[in-house]
Amino acid sequence: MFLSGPSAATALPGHRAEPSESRAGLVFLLMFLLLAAGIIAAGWLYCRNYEKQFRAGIERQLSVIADLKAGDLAQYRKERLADGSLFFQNAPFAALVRRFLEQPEDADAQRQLQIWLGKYQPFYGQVRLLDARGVTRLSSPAGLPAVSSAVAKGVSDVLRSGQVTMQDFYRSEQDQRIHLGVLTPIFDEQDARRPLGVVFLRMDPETYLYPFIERWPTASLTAETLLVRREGNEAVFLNELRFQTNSALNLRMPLDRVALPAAQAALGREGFMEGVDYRGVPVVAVLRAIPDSPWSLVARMDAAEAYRPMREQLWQVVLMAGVLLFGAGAFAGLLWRRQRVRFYRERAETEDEARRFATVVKDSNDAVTISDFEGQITAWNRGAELMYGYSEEEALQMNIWRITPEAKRAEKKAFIDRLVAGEAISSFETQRVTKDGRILDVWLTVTKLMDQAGKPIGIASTERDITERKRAVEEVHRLNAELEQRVAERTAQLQAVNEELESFGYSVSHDLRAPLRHVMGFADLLQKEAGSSLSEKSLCHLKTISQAAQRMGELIDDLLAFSRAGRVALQKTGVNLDELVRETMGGFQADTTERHIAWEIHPLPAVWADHALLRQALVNLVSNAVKFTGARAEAKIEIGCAPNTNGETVIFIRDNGAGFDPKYASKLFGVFQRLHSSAEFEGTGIGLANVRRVIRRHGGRTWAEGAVEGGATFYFSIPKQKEDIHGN
Amino acid sequence: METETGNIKNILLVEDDPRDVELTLTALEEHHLANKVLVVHDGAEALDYLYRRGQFNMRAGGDPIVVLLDLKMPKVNGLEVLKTIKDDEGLKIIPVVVLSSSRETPDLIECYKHGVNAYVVKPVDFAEFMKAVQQLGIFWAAINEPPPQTGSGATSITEGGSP
Repeated sequence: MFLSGPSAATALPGHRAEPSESRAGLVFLLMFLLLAAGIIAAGWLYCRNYEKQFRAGIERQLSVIADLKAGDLAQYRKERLADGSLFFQNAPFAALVRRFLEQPEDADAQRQLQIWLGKYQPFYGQVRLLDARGVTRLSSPAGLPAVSSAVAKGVSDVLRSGQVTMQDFYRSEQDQRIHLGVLTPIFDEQDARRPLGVVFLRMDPETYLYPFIERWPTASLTAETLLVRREGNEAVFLNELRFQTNSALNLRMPLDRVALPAAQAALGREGFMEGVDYRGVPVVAVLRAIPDSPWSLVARMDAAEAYRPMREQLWQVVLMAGVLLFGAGAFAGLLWRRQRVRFYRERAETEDEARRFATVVKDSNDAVTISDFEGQITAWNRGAELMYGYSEEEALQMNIWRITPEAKRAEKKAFIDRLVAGEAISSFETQRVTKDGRILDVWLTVTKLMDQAGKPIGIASTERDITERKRAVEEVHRLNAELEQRVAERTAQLQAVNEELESFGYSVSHDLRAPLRHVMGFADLLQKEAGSSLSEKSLCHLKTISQAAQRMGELIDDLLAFSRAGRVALQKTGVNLDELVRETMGGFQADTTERHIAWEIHPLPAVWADHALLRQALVNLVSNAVKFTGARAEAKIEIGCAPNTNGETVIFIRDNGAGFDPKYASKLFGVFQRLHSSAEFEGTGIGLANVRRVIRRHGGRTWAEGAVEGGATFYFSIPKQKEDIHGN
Repeated sequence: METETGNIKNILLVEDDPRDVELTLTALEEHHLANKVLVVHDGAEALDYLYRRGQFNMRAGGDPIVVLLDLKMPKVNGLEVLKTIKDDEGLKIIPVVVLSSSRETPDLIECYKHGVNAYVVKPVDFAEFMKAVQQLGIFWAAINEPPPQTGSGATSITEGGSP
């Protein structure tokens, strides 16, 4: 699974960022930015709107105050001029003035004028009658000093213009205080062009005007109203300022300070403005020109104060936006986190699996490599490092051809072509070459890697070093061959031995028999030819010679039979033991006619055996029984089948003969082993050895039970085989 | 005439052992057959005789009525002689009786395979040996009708070789 798809990329953790994860992060970031932009835009619009409205409110408020004050000031001026106008073109008053000026001693005129002036004196601080030269002729209160130069100048102006005129703010030369007043020209009642003098009503602004101006209808820490007038290129402040003492008529500002509301007002501008006041502090102001006057009014307030509610409001909005932004951010973040947690959990699960696979792959002793179709290696595990000797770092710079031996390149190229063509190739045996030039036999298993679109991108290859295994297999083959060779040699040796034995037997047959025959033959001839002349004793010697030779012949025959029993190939057939025993018994009939032998033959099974050899064994056993019962008047021989066990047929032959000492039972079946003397029982001592050999060759066993003079029982077993024929 | 006839040696005994030759001839003598026996002492001589070559190139007489052949002999052994006789179109009609000490199965098989006419084991016991050889002699010399062209009156076997 690991090598079957693009998940193979996880085999190289950290080589590539997680695309889906960063994409998710980007989505959340975008979401947050969108929300934030919305919040900021909404806040900004709200602020803009609010600010606009608030400014409009401030403007309205300032305008109302400014209008009110301007109106009042205009009214004030009008009233003052109206006061002055009472004396203007007042014929009786003019007549009185003319009389008083022409005849200063005219007490009546003076008295009447004094009454006029006295009437105004309570409302104006000083009321004077000046002559055309500006000299004070009469005053209330009386005895006032001469007028200030500003007033003197105004007298000549007013006489020239012939209009009731306001004497604007001036500083008195006597008391250094600021005053203003109304100048009313008095002309001759008869000759209207002849100026007589001027009535001057002097006002102290401190009593009404300044307090009025300074008064602000609402509670404010910085709001104030101020009056300016233009003098040349300067704006002159006319009243005492809230934040600067001794400013009236002293404080002047150049008109080119465009941000200065006072300068703008002095230039005649009207309306709302924001600027910087005389203190250098940002302010909001409304400018108004006072009609029919050089005055301009400025109603101003510190921007800080004016806008404080707005600022506060804006800050609240900003704060709220901030809270909203934070909330949005937190929300997006929370969503992102949750998404990430889910993502990482999922990825952790898949990665966990992938890592397990990757660990298995990384630590595998098999070389696991990934290469593209050009053969460039892109992955190289520890097994590959160990197998080929190139480190991962080296290998990733390498082409797969580097580990392909010259002889296998064509094969490899053909194989890649077939793989690209879509042929399914799983495993095959090939060779690889290591860094130090050794050629390895490898078992190669390959998988074509696809990307998510199903496009083939490379080959994953697992290579197992089978060099050792092959060597081992070859070693096993070699050992087998060696073993076979040895077996063949041994067989040949055995065959040679067998052949030697055979030729030995052959020689025995021929060469040992012939001398015996000669011994016997010539002994017989001697007896025939010289028998009559020989003594009894000599004849006995001749007989002994013949008997010895005969016995030698029997020994040779038995030995040959014994040797043959060990050599000839077994030819197994189903042997009917009943028949075989009867046949064997028949062979002894002739020799035992003079004896009393009670034969007891039990029913016998069929066995799977070599007929001739088994017959030989039976003959030996039966002849033994016949032989060793020779001394019994009533011999008894029993042949039967013992209750069988372990898949064997067990045959016994029991007699009541001489028996044997059980402690020598083990010697019974040895070659030339005899438990009885030749004088007692004749025999070669080969019979039982032959029996054992025959039975052993059938895979059976032989054993015997007996007691001295207590008879003997000989057993042999023949293994039962599938082919055994029962009850036949 | 009788002596002449009696002198016709038409039984070929191939036997290397002089004692066996003596015992065999003794046995045959009892039935007066010994004078019909020509003895050669190995296979090579036997073949020389049959093919009339070497010392026998001038011999008279035809083929023997029977060849009594020992198996174990120096030079050319009995089995080889048997093979030669039975492979020769001219000789194969001559009856061959193997006289051997061996009753080993391979010997028997080989001999019968190569067309032996009889196989007689020489008994160790002298009485039995006498009986066997005498019976053999009577059978082949008197009872058996020999193939034509062998042992006829016109054929004579002259004594050759040393005893």
